[in-house]
Amino acid sequence: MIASILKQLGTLLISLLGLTVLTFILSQQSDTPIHPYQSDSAFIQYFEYIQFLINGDWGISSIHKRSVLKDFLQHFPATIELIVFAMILAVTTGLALGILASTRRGGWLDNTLMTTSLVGYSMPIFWWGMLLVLLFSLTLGWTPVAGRISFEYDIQPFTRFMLIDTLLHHNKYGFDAFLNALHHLILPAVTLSTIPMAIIARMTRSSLLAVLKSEYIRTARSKGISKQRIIWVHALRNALQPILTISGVQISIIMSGVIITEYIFAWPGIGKWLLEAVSRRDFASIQGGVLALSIIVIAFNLVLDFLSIYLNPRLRRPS
Amino acid sequence: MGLLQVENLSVDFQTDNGIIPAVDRAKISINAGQVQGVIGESGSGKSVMALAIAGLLSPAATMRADLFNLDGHDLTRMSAGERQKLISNNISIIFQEPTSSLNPSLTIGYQLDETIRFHSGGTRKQRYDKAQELLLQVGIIDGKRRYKEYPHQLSGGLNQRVMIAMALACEPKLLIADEPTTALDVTVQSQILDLLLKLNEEHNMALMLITHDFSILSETTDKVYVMYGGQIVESGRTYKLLSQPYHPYTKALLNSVPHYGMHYRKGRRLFNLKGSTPSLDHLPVGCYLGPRCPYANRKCVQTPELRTLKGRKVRCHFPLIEDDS
Repeated sequence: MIASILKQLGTLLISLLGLTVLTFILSQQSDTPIHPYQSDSAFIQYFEYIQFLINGDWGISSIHKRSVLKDFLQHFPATIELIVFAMILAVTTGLALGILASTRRGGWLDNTLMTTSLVGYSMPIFWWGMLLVLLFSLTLGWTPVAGRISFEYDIQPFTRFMLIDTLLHHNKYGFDAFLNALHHLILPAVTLSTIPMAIIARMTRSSLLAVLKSEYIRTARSKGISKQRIIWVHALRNALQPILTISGVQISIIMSGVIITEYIFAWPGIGKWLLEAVSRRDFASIQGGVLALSIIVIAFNLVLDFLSIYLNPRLRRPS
Repeated sequence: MGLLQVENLSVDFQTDNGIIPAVDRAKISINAGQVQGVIGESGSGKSVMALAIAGLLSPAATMRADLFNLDGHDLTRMSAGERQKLISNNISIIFQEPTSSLNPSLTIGYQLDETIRFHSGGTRKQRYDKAQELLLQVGIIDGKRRYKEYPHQLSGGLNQRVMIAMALACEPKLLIADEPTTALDVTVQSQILDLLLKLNEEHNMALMLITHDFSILSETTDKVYVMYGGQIVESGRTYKLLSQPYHPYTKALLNSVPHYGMHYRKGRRLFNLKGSTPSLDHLPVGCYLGPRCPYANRKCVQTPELRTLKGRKVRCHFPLIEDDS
C-alpha cells in the first residue's frame, strides 16, 4: 500500500513540474514582467518563479492592480460551491440512472435513459445553459435568471461560501437567504452537471453489466440473496473502480465547463474572472488562475486515486 | 427415495442467430447421499445442465422440463420466487474457478457470514462460531486469520475449500460440483475430492460431479451420465459403463485418455475421434455423433432415442454390445 501511495505522490510531483513549467512560459509572454527576476537565464528564472509561487507572490493583476492570489481566493469560493454542488448532482444522479438502466437491460427504460444520456453528453454547454434559462427562468419563471443571491439580501462574506455565510446569520433572515442562494444555485449546477452525469451514467451501466456477468455474482445468486443486495453489496463495489476513474476525468471537464456556465449565469467566480483576464491580456491573472485550477484538478484526481486504492483490497492488501 | 428427479429437461438460448439447444431432453435422477458423475467435452451442455438444475441460468436462456421434483416438491408448479427459495435451500453449487467465484472486494468472513445469515440466521457471535466450525470442517485450520482475508490472499485450493464451506452453510441435500478441481494442482485436486467425498458421507449429502476426467469418475461415483451435443448419450453404473461402454462416443472418450501403465512406444498415438464437437447451432441431422462415428451407417440419419439395455440407457442405433460377448 505504501508503495502505491509513493507512486501516486511521484506522479503528483511530475505533474506539478510540468504544470509550473507551462505557467512559467505563459508568464514570460506578459507585456509587463510579472515577477522581478534577479537572473537573466530562463533556467534560473524558473526556480525564482517557483520561489515566488511558494512565497505566495503570484504577481499583480495588470487590470485590477491587486494581488492575483488574493483576487483568486476572493472569487474561488463561489466556484467551489458551484462545482461541488454540480459534482454531487452528477455523481448521485449518474450512479442512480446507471444502476436503473443496468437492472432493466434492453428494456424501454434502459433504451430511453441511454439515448437521453447520449443527447446530454453531446450537448454544447453554452447552448444547453441558455435553453434551460429560456425554459425555467423566462417562460416558467421557476428559477432566477442569474447571480448567486437576490439583491434584497445583504450577506456578510465570512467564508465567501454563500450557503455557509447565509446560515451563519442564525436567524430567519439568514435561512431565507440560504434558500434563496440554493434557488440560485440549481440551474447553473444542473447545466454544469449534465455532461458528467451522462458520462457517469453510461459508465455505471456498462461497468455494472460487466460485473453482473461475473462468476462471483453467480455464486451470490446461488446463495439465494435478494436482487437488491446483489447489486448494492456484491456488484457495485466492484463496478466502482472505472466509475471513479471516469469521475476524475470529469473534474477537468467541469473546470472548463464552469467558465462558460459562470458567464451565462453571471456567477461571480473564477470562470468569470479568468474570462475577463483573458479578454484583457492580463497575463498575471491568467497564469495564476490556470495554475490554481490545474492544481485543484490534480489534487482531486489524487484523492480519487487514494480512494480507489482504499476500495480495492487487491491494491490495499497485496498477497 | 429420489432426491432429485428431472425428466426431459431442455435449455434453449435465444441468440441473434436463432435458438440454440444447449441441453436436449435430459433425464436425471439422484437419490439422497448418492454420488453421480456427468462427463463430456467442453460445450456438451454439462455445465448448462448444472446451472439449470441450480436455477442459475442467465435471462437469455429458457428452460423446460416435464418433471422437476426436488425433495418431494414439484417445482414445475411453483412460482419463480418459491422455486428459487427451495432450490437455494436444497442445492448448492461450486464452480471451476474458485478464486473468481468469490467476490474480490469482500472478505472471506463476510461472504461466509452472509450465507449463514441468509440460511440459519443467529446472532453475530453464533454466526461467527458457525463460520469457524465450517472452515474447520473443510480443512482450513487457521480459520480465525483466513476469516479476515480477501480471496486474492488465498490459494486456489483454499478458495475452493471456502466455496465448499459456503455451500455447506446452506446445509444442502445436493451439492453440484462443476469441474471443482480443473483449475487446481494435482495434489490439491485429490485433497478437494477427498473432502467432497468425506462430506458426502458425513452429511449424507448427494454429490453431482461434473468433470471431463475419467479417473475422477471411476474413483468416486456410483453412476455416470455421458453427454454429447446437449444430450445424454449413455448413462449407467460407473464401473460397468467404464469397463464396457455401449455407446461409440463413450468408447471413443475412454480410448482417447492415456492410462497408467500404458506402454510408451515411439510413434504411437492416442486414439483421436475424427472431426470436432458440433457447434450447437449447426447440429447434424439424426444422431449428433453420426458424422464422426466410426460405426455409423445410413440408419444414423434418423434420430436415435434413449433406450434401456441391460440396466443402462444408451442413445444409439448400434450399441456396442456384440463386440465383447
